[in-house]
Amino acid sequence: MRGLAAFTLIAVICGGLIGGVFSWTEPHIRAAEAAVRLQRLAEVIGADSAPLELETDGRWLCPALRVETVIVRGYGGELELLIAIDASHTVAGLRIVRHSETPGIGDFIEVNPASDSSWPDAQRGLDAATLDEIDAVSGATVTVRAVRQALRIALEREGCA
Amino acid sequence: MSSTETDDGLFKRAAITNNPAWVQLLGLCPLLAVSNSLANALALAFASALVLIGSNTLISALRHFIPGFARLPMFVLIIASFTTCATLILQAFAYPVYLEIALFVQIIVTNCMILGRAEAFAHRNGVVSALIDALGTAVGFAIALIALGIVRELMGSGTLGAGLPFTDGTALVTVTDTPLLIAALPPGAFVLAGLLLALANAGKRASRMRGGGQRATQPATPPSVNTQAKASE
Repeated sequence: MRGLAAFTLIAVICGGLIGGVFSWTEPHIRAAEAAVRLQRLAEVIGADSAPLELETDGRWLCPALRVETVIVRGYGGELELLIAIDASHTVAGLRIVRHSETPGIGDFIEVNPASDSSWPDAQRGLDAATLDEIDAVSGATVTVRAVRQALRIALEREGCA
Repeated sequence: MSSTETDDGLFKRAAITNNPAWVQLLGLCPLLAVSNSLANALALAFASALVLIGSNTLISALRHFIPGFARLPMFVLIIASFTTCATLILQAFAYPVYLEIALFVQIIVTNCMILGRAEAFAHRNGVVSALIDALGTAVGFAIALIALGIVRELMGSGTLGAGLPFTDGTALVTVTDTPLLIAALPPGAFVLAGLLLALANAGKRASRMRGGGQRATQPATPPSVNTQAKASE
């Protein structure tokens, strides 16, 4: 009986604690997630593009480009990519939203001020026919194949493949 | 329960003499996995400190209500709640860092350093002592994390301070463009943690040799502490 009362007391305290912290942090978390996504999106379409609209199905639109969100399996876990495809059905931009590739080996797919990788931007201009010409990186075959698969999925979704 | 003087010794004992990282070798999984940059190390040190202080204090405050037979599940429940809170706070205010170390923040629940302090100390002592013990343990863990973080980021990435929230993600210092990659990878973490351990042991030995004459002045620490330390050795 005493154990039950103690468990109830602790559950109430812990529940209240988590509930309070959650309602305090939730708007901040939403804002942080949206900011990261928007920043990647601005990178993927180029900063000078027209304003964006968010469609209800989760696709982002702007006049000249279609942007697809694709999730594939990489070497260390899921890769989430934003892929911009232009009117001539070629890849116009590529950014990673999240990944868990090996640091120093598979993380060249990520563009950040610290690592200064130019790999994603070098893959612009690929299309359904030239997808196999994606730049290979030694030691990271699985990562590159995952990105290639993501590009193929994005091109297929846009009806270019 | 205990006076402020022994509380002072309590802090030092928790942070240095019984340091969780290089004396007790607890919490090594997050220590090795996350110390690849200063920003990550600081974030994990903050999250661990929050969980340690919160759970130690709450467990100590509730120690008369917690029946002995069910104490472990209750400790885990409390620790898990504080870990969830730490995860949410990091997510809200340091999102880019959170993305990198999310997994290791969540597994603080299973960190034996925290459950160890709950079971061995907080559960049996007053709130103030438990708080000081938690602060000391958190500081000790933070010292190890930050020291490894600084060395591994300098060696493994050639930068310092990349990804800190207040620097816009750019590094404070860039030492080299051709870093020693192994320092950023898990094997390098083991090597450097081993060197940290050796350094701590060398320091301990040096102070013991120097302390040969000082031992006479040592009875300032309560005798119970000495026997406890001897028993654990």
